[in-house]
Amino acid sequence: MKRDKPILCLCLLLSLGLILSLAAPTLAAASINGEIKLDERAYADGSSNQISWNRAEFKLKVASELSGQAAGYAELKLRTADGPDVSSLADLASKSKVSAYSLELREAYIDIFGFPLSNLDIRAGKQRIAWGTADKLNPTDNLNPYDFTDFLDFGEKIPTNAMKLTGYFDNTTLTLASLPVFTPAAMPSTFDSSINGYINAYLPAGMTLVSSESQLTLPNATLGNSMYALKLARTIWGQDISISYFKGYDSVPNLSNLTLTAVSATQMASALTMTYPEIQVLGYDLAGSFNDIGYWLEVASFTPDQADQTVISPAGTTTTEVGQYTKYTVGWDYTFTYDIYVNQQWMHGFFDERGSTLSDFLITRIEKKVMDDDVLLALNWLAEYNNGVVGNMFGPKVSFYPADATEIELGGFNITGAAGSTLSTWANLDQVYLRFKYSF
Amino acid sequence: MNIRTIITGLLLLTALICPALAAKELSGQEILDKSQKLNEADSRAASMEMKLIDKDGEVSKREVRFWSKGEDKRLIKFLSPADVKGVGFLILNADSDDEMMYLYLPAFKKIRRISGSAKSGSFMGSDFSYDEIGSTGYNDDYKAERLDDENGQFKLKLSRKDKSDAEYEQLIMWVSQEAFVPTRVEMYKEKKRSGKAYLELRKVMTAEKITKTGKYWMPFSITMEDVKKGHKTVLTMSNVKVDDDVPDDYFTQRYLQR
Repeated sequence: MKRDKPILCLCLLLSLGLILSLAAPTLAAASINGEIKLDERAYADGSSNQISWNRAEFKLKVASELSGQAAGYAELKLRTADGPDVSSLADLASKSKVSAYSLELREAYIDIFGFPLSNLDIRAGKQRIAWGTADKLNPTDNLNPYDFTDFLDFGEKIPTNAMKLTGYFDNTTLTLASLPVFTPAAMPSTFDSSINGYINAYLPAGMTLVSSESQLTLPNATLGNSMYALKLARTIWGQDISISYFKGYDSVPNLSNLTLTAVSATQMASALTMTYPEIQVLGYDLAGSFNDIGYWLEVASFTPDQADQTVISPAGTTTTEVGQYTKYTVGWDYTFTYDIYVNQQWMHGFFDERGSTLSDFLITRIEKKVMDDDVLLALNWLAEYNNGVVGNMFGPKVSFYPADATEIELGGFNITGAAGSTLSTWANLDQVYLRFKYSF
Repeated sequence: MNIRTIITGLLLLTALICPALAAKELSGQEILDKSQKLNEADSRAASMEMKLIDKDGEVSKREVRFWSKGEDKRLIKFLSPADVKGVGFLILNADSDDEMMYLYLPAFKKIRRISGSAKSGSFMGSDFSYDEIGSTGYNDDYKAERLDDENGQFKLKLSRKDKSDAEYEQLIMWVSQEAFVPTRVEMYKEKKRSGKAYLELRKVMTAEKITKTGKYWMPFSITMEDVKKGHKTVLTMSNVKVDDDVPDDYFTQRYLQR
């Protein structure tokens, strides 16, 4: 399959060129923009200094509005892998293995404005539907799946195929969205090891795991399993308020069944079943400003179906029932004297958490631009409180803007966490990074 | 010299003297009010190019498209540089207690509510604040006192009203007697040294190329200089349209993200 990638890439670029040349007479209304990035990261554990990330990225964005009634947008992302994908002598003869890359159609959608009624807009295609008023920590934003692959953009979302209809009625906006096929979250590279850790935690003392099977079941792509959502938003007394409803699937897999079987006196085998629970989410958003202080509140009440976790072992069967639960984010921001920007949020319930025992996080971001805005100093601090267990993550960052549309970012993060905290599982991920970005 | 010549001469003299007399009688507040009312268009649309010039003379450019309707609705769309292209900024109920500001970030496909404290922040790295871009009036925030005219222009001292949250305590303003357009504004902030308060000059705005467009006089070039940083921004306007009936729809979240 990977062998086809260069051909696919070439075809796409040729098609793009052909489309652009054919559309030359109308190109006045089309714009081509993009980004070039280099992202280098290394573990900062003081011993291995291993490079954790080594990626160059080319992003192409094409937007066209040929009339005031319709528009199109597409975004292609071509990215190198962290290193060569070479594991055999034969691989050395494959350019795509030696210089590995991936191509992603990030977004591709069509906008039809004022159709079928003048106050209605339709957007159809692969798209990001971003809901919620909080800053990146949005429990009501459940339409697109999470992308956990990049630790620095944790909580990022993957655009998916959808149809969105937005109606504007004076001060009120009604949005309806339909997502025909479920797409799961992209999990971090440490997902496999965290699953092993989960299984090992249930092994009786003195037993070792000799074999493990896992089965992942996605919802069938049927009309009945299509996901849909609606949101009603309105400004009341200067406050932006919305209520929303989502019926679909949780994009993070649930470890629904783990069966441990003894194969000898000291050895065990495991069989793990992972599913994606059906969820209904009732959301409430609020954003406003008081005395020049911005504030927001986002509450999501989740009603899952079949989100229980069962563990069957020689010691017996235990089932953790997961009923209705509520996640929320509340935050504020303010620009103080000397243009010092502070943004603080309290988040109840981490992205992948479900059930009644949810962690709490205080996330603080402080920013200050210096040297005629050519340099941005930022400090991110995430403090975790999880039933008496605490953890901290500090992330200082310096961004340089040596020229227009050009950014150099230098930063790092240090993570500590007491046993049992979410952050303790990331404690060995301390890293430093250097990123370059140019937009055109 | 016949009677006809005398009458014509008297009429000409009256025509010349009366505006000057009238101008002399105007109070500072009246001049400030007039400068706002005379040039208050129902709507404006303009392309703006900003040249940011640092103390070493290095220049970078920004381009935006600007629309306003009445005194309370403004929309700004960022055209360049590429990293901010597509960003939109919408202000509703401007300069009032119910002011609402929204920022559209195309990379996130999201509209964010912006707090009022961000108003005094730099607009795209320029020497203009968000509050100063598109703002046409001073009389909501300042009371004016007339000083002695200078170089054929009115000179006013504007003191911040008690309840105002305007950034500067005092402004010294020069106003064109013909166009009633501020041609120079010096902005002072209160500082304290050894327990004594004093006013420090922070920024100077200079308006040039004042031209009549439709019924209104307006500057086509505005320079804002940050005196402390030695940095300045030259804002040049083009494709200016006034009273061109900008649709109300433009000042909505629907249009902000288009």
